[in-house]
Amino acid sequence: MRKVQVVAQSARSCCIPRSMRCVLLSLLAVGLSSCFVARDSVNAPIEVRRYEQFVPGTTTAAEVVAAMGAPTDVVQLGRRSALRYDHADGKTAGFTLFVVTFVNRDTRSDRVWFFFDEENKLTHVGATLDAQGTEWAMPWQERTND
Amino acid sequence: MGNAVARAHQRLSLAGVVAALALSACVQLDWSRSHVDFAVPHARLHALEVGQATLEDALATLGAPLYVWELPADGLAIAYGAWSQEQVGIQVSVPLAEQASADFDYSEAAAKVEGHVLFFDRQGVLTVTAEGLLRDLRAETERRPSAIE
Repeated sequence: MRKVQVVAQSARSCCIPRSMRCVLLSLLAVGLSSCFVARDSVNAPIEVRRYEQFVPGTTTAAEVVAAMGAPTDVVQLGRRSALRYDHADGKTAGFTLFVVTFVNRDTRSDRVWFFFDEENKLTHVGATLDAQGTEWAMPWQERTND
Repeated sequence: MGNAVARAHQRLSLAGVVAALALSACVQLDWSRSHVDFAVPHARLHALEVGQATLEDALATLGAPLYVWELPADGLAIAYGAWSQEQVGIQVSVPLAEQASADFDYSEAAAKVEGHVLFFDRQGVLTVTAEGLLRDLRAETERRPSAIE
């Protein structure tokens, strides 16, 4: 009987006391609850179908603006001109673990330039569409461009 | 039994100190990374030969530029660039005297964009390429827009 009592007492003494457990759990909850994500974008996404119908040498600047809406930028190139349309998508992810904070922000863009000659006829189109590939990530993760 | 209670109180005090330190943000460690777009791959850029490649070739190979501007003699320049920043830091501060901000400053980022600029003549043929801070390259080469008659 005495042997059983000694074993029980020993087992109790190596357990974490209830008050200590509460403190540790509270700290853990505070430490692990500080995760956050944020997303932001600039302008509406660019739809390929809106500009793939344009024909260099035929489509005019007025037709481009009628189909695409107001450009983000208009650049005068002597007697020629260029219009820029863009959209950006940004994703920010992070978390704080007690005193350590990790934050990663990834921003990618869709961008299309239309170049026009002296008669406002379309001459060239340049497009980059990366915004859909924006990633949620942590600072130690590799950034991929598919 | 008395020893066990004393040990528990000691651990509790230690945990209290750690919690106070953590929650008052006296010490902060941070690792942050920001990326805006991708740099142009060198292999694609080097595929464009000076004196041979045209504006059409450049747009087809490299996609849409970040900036376009006018050059003297009816030429034009197109610029490609990307921005990224990685920061690992430790801050030890008194909460009343210091404050930190995680705001992302787009104008600051734009000023630090490095990349490549391709210069084309009036006929749209590539004449020169340059590498560096886009803001500086632009300031050195841009022509003020001419008046339209």
